Amino acid sequence: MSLSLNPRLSGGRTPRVPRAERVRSAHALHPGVALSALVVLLLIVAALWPGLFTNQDPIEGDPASAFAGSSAAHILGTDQLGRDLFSRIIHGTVYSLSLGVGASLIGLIGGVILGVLAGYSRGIWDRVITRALDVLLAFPEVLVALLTITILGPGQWSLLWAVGLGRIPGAARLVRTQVLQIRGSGFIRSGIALGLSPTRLILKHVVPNSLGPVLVHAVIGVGVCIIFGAALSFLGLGAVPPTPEWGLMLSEARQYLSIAPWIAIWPGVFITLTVISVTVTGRWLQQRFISKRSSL
Amino acid sequence: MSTLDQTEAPEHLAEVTETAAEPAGTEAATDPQNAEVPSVASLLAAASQTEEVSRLTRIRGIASYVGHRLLDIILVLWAAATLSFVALQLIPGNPLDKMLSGMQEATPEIRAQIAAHYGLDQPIIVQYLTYLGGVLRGDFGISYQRASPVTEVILSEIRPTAELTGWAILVAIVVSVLLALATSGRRRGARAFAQGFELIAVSVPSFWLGIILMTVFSFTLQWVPAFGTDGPGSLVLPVITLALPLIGVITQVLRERMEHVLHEPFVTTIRARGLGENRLRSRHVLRHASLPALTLTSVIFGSLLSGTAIIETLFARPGLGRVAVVAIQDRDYPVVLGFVVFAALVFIIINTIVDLLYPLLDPRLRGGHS
Repeated sequence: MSLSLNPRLSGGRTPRVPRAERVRSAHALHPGVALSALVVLLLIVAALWPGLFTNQDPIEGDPASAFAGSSAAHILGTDQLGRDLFSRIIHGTVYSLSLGVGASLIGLIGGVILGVLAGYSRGIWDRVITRALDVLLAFPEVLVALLTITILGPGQWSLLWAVGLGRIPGAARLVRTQVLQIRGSGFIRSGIALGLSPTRLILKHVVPNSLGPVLVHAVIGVGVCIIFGAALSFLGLGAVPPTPEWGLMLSEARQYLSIAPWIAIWPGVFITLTVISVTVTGRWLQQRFISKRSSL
Repeated sequence: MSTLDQTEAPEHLAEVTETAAEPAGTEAATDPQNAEVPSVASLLAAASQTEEVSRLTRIRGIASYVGHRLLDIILVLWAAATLSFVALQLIPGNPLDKMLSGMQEATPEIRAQIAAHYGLDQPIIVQYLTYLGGVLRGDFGISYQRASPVTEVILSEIRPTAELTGWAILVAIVVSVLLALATSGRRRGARAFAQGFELIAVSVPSFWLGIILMTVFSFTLQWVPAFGTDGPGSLVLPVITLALPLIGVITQVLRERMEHVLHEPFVTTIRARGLGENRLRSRHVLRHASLPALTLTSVIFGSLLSGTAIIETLFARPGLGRVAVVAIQDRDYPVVLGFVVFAALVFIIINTIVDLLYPLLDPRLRGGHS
């Protein structure tokens, strides 16, 4: 489910923007970006130290106070088991963020390894890996996820692999294209002429120089992975109760929509907020990164 | 007719040299089917007879194109089937135990009988070949839970899913095109609105959107039913829920490309000829911008695939997505794997159709298929 956040899709050339505007947009911190960065920061803090935001227990609740609306004791109200909703959402941050970052990392690392192998090796290996990647790319990510969960069974870890594995082919293709360009450039040939070992050439020269696009792919992919992971949890294929995972919370809240809609509304608000903030921050990093690159 | 031929001639010449230079050396030597095709030298020598040569190369181009596509389809299907089979082997535990989990006393005789019935007593390579053969015949085995062939299960659930996705795609395309036409290259306000909308549309999880829509329009306003499949009214909310993320994706790409195309010299030419802004956008600019949007097929398909699973679950509709999710929860592996192979097949067929659409939209792509 890699929605548009994918930089490959926006086409090759960027629209012609006047130079002054381009420079401004690349370096000035837009208020929206600043706000997003702040939200991301807060989310990271909430994931690491949830105790800073709430002292209520996310797992144990008081059944007597179930379905309570917003109050001083429970800012966002309580859920069907009387658990504080705000506390559950704060404690759930770590699942969504670590899933997004972890799955993106799996895609990044797998993509770099396969992409470098495909791009740097010549002849039959390049063709075999490229062909395999094409076949895998023709395999929707959802199916990869479903197969992974089928094999590993539902749970937090299999969810991580289910989301991450599907991102590898796309990342690998980006890396391969970069590696192909770099392999032919002068400094690599100089390195070969100087007698550098292939391992050293690859690790110290090819990989660092081909990371740009795939890093953008990974950063922006964090948002995609968060939504996808939450969707799988919503379907009952990811986190298991009583984990305060946002997608799972939404799924459980479905039965009480007519009496307590807020139980379903708030986790969704947080998913949306997280994804928007991560995406906006990621795009800003991408712009900075690219403008930095081109100015080198 | 003759003038047409003259103007086309240089293009065909270029095509001949291009297609001939690349594969002829290796292919003509190895591929017996290409034996009758003239060599590079004779092709170039015959270049004066442009028409005949161009027809030859074109037929050859199409033939090799169709061959490649067919090979692609077979490869992807084989990969899907093999991955599924490997997945089936990797699942911990003996499939027999799962099948017999409902029976109290399974004697060794019964076990052996059932193993023989499902071919589980055969060596693994035989099982693999049997499975591949079955896939070729459209036979994915028998569902553990429903005791009916997987193919039957899938076929019986296609209709509601096709209905849902068909409407969603239609709505998504119409709305995206209108939005892109209205907002691309306009004032800052409209652009900011479009960008904000696109960001929100792709960032809102569809299961949450569905819940919100349901709460507002079914429970509070009671305009449309929340669940089930009775009447067209029950399609409204699922279609909106499924279409919204698509609208975000498609509008984004369409708008960005249209803004790019609006700077092309041909647009200035058309404006200079006095064509109105609306006709310019809908007739010329949109056509250019729709090509990159076509490359979104895989994204759209993936989004629909996961979307149907979520929406069919949420709105309690029958359909393929629901079947797949339930099958995973019930560990009904043949159904899961049948679904995977089936989805891969549908996906590659759609991809092939889209590839064939490119030349229709872009005349520059007609002819050379290399």
